[in-house]
Amino acid sequence: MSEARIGNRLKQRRAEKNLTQADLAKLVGVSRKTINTVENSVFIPSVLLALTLARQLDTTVEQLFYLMREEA
Amino acid sequence: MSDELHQLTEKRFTLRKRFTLLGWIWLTMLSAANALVLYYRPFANLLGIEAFEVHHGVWPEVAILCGALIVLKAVYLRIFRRSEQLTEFASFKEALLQGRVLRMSLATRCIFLLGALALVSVGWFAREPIGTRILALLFLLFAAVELNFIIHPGETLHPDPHDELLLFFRARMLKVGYVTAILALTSLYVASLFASPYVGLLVPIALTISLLVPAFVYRRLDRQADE
Repeated sequence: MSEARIGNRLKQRRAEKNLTQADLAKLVGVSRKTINTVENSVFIPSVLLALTLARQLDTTVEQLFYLMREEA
Repeated sequence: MSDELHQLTEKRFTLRKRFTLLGWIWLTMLSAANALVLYYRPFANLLGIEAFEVHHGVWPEVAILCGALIVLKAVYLRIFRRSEQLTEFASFKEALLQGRVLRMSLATRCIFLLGALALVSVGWFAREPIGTRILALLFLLFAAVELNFIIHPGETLHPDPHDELLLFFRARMLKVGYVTAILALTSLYVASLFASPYVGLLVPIALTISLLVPAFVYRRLDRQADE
């Protein structure tokens, strides 16, 4: 049986675009804390927010988020 | 928008107001008026409710005094400070809609809720039913404030209802609060079996715990989100 977890490349993509968490938060229309928790995988965003983040960072949701499989 | 209004809306609002000299004078007058009313009981004589107050306590005196003072202050503000009041109200409304009116901090809310709990507990030990009922209303008011925080978490008085992080926090808080409330109810049931006379004291304590635990969970999550 496998347990899937979601990883993300948000911090990496944001750094490539020279954006701070606050800048990205403003672009997406959420709080800076939301961006921080998504980056730290504390909070998994909705499809709507994931799509908006991907659009603002000029990438796709699949590039931004990925499945990390852990064998249990 | 006028410059004055713009300046007022620029700053972040808090519900705390610094006590000025006028505020202290107002508080002293209020205390003195309260003491005089309790000593002479003018409203009982005026309204013919002496017998009622003998049996049910002097709370109608305090309630009538508070009502009269509220009306008096409202009339004073309407006549002498109408323009300032309108400007302040407009700026407050705008700040509220923009989510810049801050809530009371957790520490302040804890002080109010635990203070009210302490008063209710003292009233229970003193076996003073009328005073305890009045204090219980105060306690329930603070409990309602805390419940509102659990249902609508966030630092501001009017948090964004579509903020996904706050919805996530709320789900966590409700989960923890639900478990805490069930544990508190179970403890109360056990207490009712073995120490039934103390249930009246334990119910507000259980309610306080059920309300404060989710608030502390929010605090921890919020700090974690800030790191």
